[in-house]
Amino acid sequence: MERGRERLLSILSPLALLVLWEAVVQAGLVDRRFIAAPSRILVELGKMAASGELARHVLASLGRIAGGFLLGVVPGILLGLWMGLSRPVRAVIDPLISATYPIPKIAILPLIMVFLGIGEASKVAIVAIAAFFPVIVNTYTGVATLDRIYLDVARSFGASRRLVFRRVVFPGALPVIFAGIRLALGVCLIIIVSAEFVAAREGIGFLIWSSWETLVIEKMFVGLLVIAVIGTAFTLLLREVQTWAIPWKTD
Amino acid sequence: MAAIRASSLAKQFETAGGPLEALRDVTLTVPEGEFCCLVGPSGCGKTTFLRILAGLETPSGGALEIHAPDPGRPATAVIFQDTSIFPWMTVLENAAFGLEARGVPRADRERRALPLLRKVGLTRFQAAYPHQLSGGMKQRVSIARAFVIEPQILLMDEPFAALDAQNRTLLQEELVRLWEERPTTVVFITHSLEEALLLGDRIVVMTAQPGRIKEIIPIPFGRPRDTRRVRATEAYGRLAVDLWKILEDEVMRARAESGEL
Repeated sequence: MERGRERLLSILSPLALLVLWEAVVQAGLVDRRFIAAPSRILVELGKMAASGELARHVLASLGRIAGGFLLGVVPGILLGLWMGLSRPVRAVIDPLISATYPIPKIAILPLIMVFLGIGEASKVAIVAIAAFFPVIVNTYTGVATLDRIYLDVARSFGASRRLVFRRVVFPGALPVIFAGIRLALGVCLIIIVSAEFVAAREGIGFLIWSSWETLVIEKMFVGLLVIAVIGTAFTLLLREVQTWAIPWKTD
Repeated sequence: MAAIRASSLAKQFETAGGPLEALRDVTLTVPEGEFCCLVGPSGCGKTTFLRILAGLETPSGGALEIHAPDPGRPATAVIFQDTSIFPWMTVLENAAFGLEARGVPRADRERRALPLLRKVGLTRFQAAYPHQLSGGMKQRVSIARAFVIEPQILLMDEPFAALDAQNRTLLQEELVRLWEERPTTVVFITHSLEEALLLGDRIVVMTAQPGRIKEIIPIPFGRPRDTRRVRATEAYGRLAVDLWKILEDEVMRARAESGEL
């Protein structure tokens, strides 16, 4: 009974906010040039979806995220594992990571464009770099902080190095690696929108920025709505993947 | 025939505060098939000794002979303190890990691990992950994992120390039953004199750091052993008191050195 009411309340509260928003705009209490009513946003969304404009922007952003994410995560995991397993490798890579990690990745976009031009490659590259850092750091941490008892067990049973890696080190580090991947995906969203603000002709970031510049405020809100939906979808998708990949952590 | 022959074993660790002498001049022979219990105060090097036997540490001095005549069976298996089973493997995969490490194919692994799971009462939980198990069940998996590979020497490092009293009693009984089905050489580390008396054939009392052998006491209770009946005997109570007198000095000394007194 109580829970049913709570659920109802948590559905009602965003709806109430939307209704309030609509009412405030319709009543003329805010400047309509800057704040669009939810109903107008929905209409605009429908128009953009029908014309294919929306799909063009969404696919452009998703393509850059997918490409950059893979190019960042895969080397991040591999190098992180290597660092975790080998002290000399750690000694070489660790200072490089520590020195470059604190740089906000968007700050090197101009530098990347010097090398890769203003085309797709520079956007994919900046996403890859942003995804790389949380993953390599978490992967290395996951391996390095693995409870030593598990390695002792494996050694005491005479497990080969390959088996120790495959059955002990990798699965043992996987939850921490996964946390890194989750972080990376969040960072990727931020980075791609920022990059598209300044250096793209299509994409959700471009949609938001150019709509603001030309004061087509409904379109700007459509961009915000879409990026929110994509962020939520990523979160849900990752949760599913996690349940499948780390069944011992979730019930 | 001696399964383990340690002569003047010594072990020093390099620590930040200088060298630490964990073991000094440990000479001990464990005959094949004996259940040998090592008792001593915390930090007396019992675990270090066991880790040397398991091949997880190398001694700094002395000699160690492990006699494992059967080439088809692994020389040693360890049952660790606390929960050492892998959280990312199911109960069955955990129990079969020793076989996996030896390259046994999956079907054979399961065929050999399942009977052990049945013996420790975990058949129903074979597909469960450790986080779904209680502390006692986790330690049963750990016992099964060691027994499955049929080691010639079984090394146990305070396997029941983290359990509550009821679970400890139950697991002690199960261990005696499992072991008597197929007696192998056992080195069992505990800080509980009662546990040593119930399970062992001989008790080796060790001194506070550095660990040395202070006294070796044979246990008069025969085999097969009914641990409940042993608990009720007068000899059990008397031995527990006598042993405590031997151990007490060491415990006090260890406490004094660690600044507890």
